[in-house]
Amino acid sequence: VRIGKHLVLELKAASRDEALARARVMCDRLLANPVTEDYEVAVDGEVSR
Amino acid sequence: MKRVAVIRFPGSNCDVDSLDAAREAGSDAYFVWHRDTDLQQADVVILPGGFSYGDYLRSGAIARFSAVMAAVTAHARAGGPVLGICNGFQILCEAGLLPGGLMRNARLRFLSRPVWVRTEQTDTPFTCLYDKGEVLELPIAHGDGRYVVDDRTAAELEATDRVVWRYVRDNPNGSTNDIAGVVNAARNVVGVMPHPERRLIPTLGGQDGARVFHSMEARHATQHAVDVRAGDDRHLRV
Repeated sequence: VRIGKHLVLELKAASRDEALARARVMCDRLLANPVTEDYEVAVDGEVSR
Repeated sequence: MKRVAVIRFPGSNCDVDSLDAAREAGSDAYFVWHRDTDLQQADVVILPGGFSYGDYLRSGAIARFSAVMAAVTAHARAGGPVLGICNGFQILCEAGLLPGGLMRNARLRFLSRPVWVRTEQTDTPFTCLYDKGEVLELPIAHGDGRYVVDDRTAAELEATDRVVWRYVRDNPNGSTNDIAGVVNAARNVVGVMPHPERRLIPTLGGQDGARVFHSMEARHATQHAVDVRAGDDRHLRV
C-alpha cells in the first residue's frame, strides 16, 4: 500500500524548467518534509491563462 | 529567577499550563505571540502543545515559518534552552532544530491517555532534577506522535546519549527505538511528546512532570551559586 498526498500547484512560469525548479524549492521548504517524505514533481498542463 | 517565554500559536493548547508550571517552579514566565519577533531577553523558551494552524499539511509545518521562530532559532543556536512539548516537539523537528520527524501514530488512532517513560538523560536543562532511569507517568494527547529517524541518525542518537525519555511498558505510537523525547547535539534543545505540564500536582493525577520546570531554575541557580555566595554568603535554592 502506498499512501501519499497529491498536490496541484498552479503557477506562471516562463518555461517548464523554471516551473519545475520553483516547485522543487516549494517542496523542499514546505510542501514536503524531506526527513520523512519523498516527493516527485511533474509538469502536466502547459498553459491556463 | 529565569525568564521563560511561552510561545503561543493559533491552536496552541496547554500554553497556560506551561506558564503556570514555570511560575510554580519560580520562573518569571510570560507569553510571546507568534507574530512577535522579540523574546524579551528570555533565558528559556517553551513551545507548548496543541494543533498550531490546525495541523494543516503536517503538524508543525506552518508554525515553523512564524515570525517568532527566527528569534527562537537564534536563541537555540546561541545555546539557549528550548523545550518543545508535543506540538512544540513537532515544530522543532520541522524547523530543523531537532533531528527526525513525527508521523501518524501506528494504528492511526489519536491517543489521549497516560504513558510511562524512563528518564534516560539527566544532563539537559529540563531533566537535571530527575534520577537516571526514573520512570514517570505522563499523559499523551496526539495523533502524530510516532518519532521517525533514519537508521544512521537513530544509531547516532543512541551512541551520543541523546534519547532523553523512552516509552516503557508499551510503545503507544510506534516510535523508533521507543523514543519519547530527544535532545540536540548541543544538549540545549529538548523535544518531548508526553505533556509534563499536565502532571504538576496530585489532584491532576500526579506530579511527575513538575521537575522538568524546576530543573530550569535549578540549573540556573547552580551556575550562579558561586557568585551569590561570594556576595552575601547565602545559598540559592538549588
